[in-house]
Amino acid sequence: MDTEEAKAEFFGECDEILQGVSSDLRIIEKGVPESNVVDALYRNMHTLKGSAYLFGLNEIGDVAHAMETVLEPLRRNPKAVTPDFLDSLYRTIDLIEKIIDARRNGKDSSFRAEIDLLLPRLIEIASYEFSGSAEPIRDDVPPREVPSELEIELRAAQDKIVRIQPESKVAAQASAPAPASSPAPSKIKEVPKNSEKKSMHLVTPENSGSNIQKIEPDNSGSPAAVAAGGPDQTIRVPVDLLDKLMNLVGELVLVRNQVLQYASGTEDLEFVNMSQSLDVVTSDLQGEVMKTRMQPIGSVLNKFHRVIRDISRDLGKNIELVLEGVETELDKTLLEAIKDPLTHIVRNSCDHGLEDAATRIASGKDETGTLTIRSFHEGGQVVVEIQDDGKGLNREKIVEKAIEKGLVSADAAENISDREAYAMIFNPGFSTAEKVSAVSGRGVGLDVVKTNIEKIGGTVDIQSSPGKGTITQLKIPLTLAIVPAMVVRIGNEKFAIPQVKLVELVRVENTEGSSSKIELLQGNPIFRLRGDLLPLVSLGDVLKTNDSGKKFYEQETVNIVVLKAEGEQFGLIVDEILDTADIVVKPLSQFLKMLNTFSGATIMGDGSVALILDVAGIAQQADLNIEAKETKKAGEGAKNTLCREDSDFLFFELGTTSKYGIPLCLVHRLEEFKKSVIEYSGEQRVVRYRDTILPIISLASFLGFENIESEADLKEQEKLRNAGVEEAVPVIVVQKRGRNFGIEVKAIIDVSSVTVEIDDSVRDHVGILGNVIHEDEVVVVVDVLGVVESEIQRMISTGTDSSDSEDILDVTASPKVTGRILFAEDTVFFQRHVKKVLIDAGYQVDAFDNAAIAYNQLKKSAPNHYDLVLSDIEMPQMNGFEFARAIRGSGEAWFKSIPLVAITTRFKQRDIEEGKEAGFNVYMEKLDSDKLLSGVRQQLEK
Amino acid sequence: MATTQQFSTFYLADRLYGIPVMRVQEVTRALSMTRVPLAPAYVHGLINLRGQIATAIGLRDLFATKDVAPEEHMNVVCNINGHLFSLLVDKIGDVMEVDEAEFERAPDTVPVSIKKFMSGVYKVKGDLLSIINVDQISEEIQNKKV
Repeated sequence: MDTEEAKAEFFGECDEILQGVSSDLRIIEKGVPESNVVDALYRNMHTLKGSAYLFGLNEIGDVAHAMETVLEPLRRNPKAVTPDFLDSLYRTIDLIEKIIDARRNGKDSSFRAEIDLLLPRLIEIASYEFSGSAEPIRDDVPPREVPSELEIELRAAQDKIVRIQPESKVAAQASAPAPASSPAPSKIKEVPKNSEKKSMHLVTPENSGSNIQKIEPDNSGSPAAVAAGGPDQTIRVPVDLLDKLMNLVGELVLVRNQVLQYASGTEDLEFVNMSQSLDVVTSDLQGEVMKTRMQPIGSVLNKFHRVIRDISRDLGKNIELVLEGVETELDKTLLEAIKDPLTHIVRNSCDHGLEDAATRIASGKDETGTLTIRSFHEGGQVVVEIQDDGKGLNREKIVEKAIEKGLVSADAAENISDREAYAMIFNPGFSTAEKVSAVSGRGVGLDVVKTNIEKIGGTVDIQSSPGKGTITQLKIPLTLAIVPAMVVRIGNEKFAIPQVKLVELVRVENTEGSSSKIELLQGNPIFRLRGDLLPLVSLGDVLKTNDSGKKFYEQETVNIVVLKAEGEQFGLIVDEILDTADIVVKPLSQFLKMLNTFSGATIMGDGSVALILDVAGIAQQADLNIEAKETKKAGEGAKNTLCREDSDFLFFELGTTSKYGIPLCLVHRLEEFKKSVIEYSGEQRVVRYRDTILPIISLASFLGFENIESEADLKEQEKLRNAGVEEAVPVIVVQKRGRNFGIEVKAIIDVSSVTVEIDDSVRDHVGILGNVIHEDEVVVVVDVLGVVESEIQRMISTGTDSSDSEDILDVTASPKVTGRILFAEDTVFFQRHVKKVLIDAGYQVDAFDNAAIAYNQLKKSAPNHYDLVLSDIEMPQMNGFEFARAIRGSGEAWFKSIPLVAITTRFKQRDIEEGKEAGFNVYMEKLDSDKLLSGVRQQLEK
Repeated sequence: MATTQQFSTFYLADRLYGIPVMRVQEVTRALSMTRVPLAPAYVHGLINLRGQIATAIGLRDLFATKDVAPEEHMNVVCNINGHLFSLLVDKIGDVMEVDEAEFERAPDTVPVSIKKFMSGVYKVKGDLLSIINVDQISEEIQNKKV
């Protein structure tokens, strides 16, 4: 057993000791303590001191020693103590905790300064406290000179050690506190008050050899205290091990389910009997293993005594904490998860709920406010109610704040129930506190509380009575891993729904004569369930597995699973409701977690995999579907098909296996030059072309491809040379800045029309715009103008092209024109591309996916806020022509005069005419940035 | 002394691929899959592997190969970042031991959609063994928006 493990054990012990100390101090605070209480406190400190020194944690030891010292007189003469004395005791305990925390996290920092500040004060207060007592206070005893009884005993025990790892001296030290034999057992007595904390510590002596037990100091004959029951009754187990056990039991449950399923279909009686025995044993095992992880909620709630004490002091209020049902048990991980939310709720109640003494008396209440935390089991869940008798929630204030935040409209706010109103305080950023205190009110807390509770599958609810108080109720499932679920069928797929979200099952006979049937409200199906309207959602529609096209509400019988999500109920329509089953929840892979409709998967009894539905996610998805349906309906009026931009592309090869393409509109000419015609002007390859010099840019080199001449190529070239025929180089001539540039490619393939759905996720290269799919092939779209632009920059910077520089129209040289442009374009790629071009040129751009929205924006804004409107033609819902007509026809003077520019990927004469008629000033090409910029500029300069 | 590496190999669309043998948990025949509605196309479903759930990924979809998948497929199961993925392939090859010296960078002739998953190639008797980087597959999948 090595030091690290021993140390970890020690820190664990410290936690227990400090817990005991806290409860002891609480009792002492209440009045004259019984002697055994002070004894226990004293002994705990003594123990702590001894162990700390053993591990060389001298600072902890020193502080513990001081505590022990000042408790000595109280132990001899128990009496009621002053608040000051208690405060200093608490502060000392805090310091010990602080140092322990630091040490357990590996920090070696010295707390000597704090200790030197605190301890003398402690001693001073103590001597003042006990100055009436006969015993002089020893405040100057250096910690380790006086061998305490513990140390004497330890040294004696060392000789009696059994089973030590021979090579480890440290092990010997660590084993010292294990007088497994003689002196201790006979003197063990259980300390009554500790039994309120039922021992939940199962430890394994997984370290071979020594059995770490608590140190049992023997002080002048008084009964030895063991912090958590007798030495044989508990052992400590790492939580990891329990987790693994839990997993394995889960697996066993699955196999058991499979065996049972098989057994139900077999005639083999012996097998059936065996499977039943297996069933019983597995269920028992499952129950017991779950119990190992259960801890009483008291272990968390008891800490709140201290919290309340501190808060009441800070706020100057009198608050009493009453705990009921502390022995209610809960899985350890869930306990951890609710610690913070509970703390927050408690703080909130104290800060905002409970009033100060004066106010309370004035309203006829008792001076001391009461905070009650009640815990109990109900319906397979643990319920924790936090109730205060304070002033309750102020509905008006909450609703006001909600309206302010836009969570609800003023009209709707009249009609919402109290419960719904109170629930709004769980929204992020919500706080009706006038002042933010250090305790709460920052508005960050309650939504986090809700999220955290819901994350573990629980629910939060608030009820309040103005003037009387507030009750916050938390409902938490007993365990996470194995949940009871309802299995349903859609088509031939099965899904599991956690029962905790299930409210009820309804079967509706949807025939004409029946009294209860599915009704349609504004096109959405609903069902009247005992007077309340229940919105219906088809699982098949949400998961898009409904191929039949038949609406579920046209069926004769409809199965509705009533679920609750986010406090709202809705009905889920399924084909068939199957069994209930206890399922083991298996998490989905990381990336599938993004599908909000599923919260995990499980393996059914027959070995197949079933997805577990996330009820909140389904509800959300259903909402989205309704929205999508409405927009589609609106869009369907305008255009029947999804808008696609068709464009002509030129395809070519660069000597690799990929195909490349550029929009045909950018191509000025296609040429083929013999290799011999290509000359060098400095380093730039050029061709004499129609009175000017044409720079030749090799696209393959630009994109970084090495010149791959395959065997076939070389042979071909050889052949041509021998035949006296010269190799020809295909060149695409494009224009930029008024000049011609030649793009050299390997081979031109053809021209074709492509539906431009450019996938620009692979846009990692300069010169590549993205990919399109053409005839089932991926074609790489080249940003040819971008390529030319960077070549130009390169040429200018290297001075290669000084001779013709006057010819280059430098757009940037002329005075900059700026303005604000309203831009409507539904295709993401083009919107981004054009927006970037405009912004780079110095314009401000407000872009919208939808012309209707753009139009509203235009109407809302101040006259001449926008200098120009740029619009695509092919858009759903409202196309470019309609947009233009709307603008021109709207009546305002500036709407009539604002320049309207249409951009598109293809234009026939007919389109241009229609456009001009609708009100566009000019038509531009989307992918030709130069023309676009000069066109916009022209319009603005007019 | 030449250093060698071992790869678990498989065929997809008549090309030979390999994954470092330590990254492969097992190879199995086709198992029944549960479809995941609303998942991206390359997620072919979920498989029950002795009580653990593996996500079946269609390599054809990731590689964007155009040919038609054969009737039968095989599964190559890998544990990536704690999750089980089952890659759907055409045929399983042998475990090959290759010489480090035969390693080369992936050639430019390989389409980008496949190259991004490859860490390189090995020349093996008359064929090229393309090495797949499973972590890259996992990363691509995480980053693709669902």
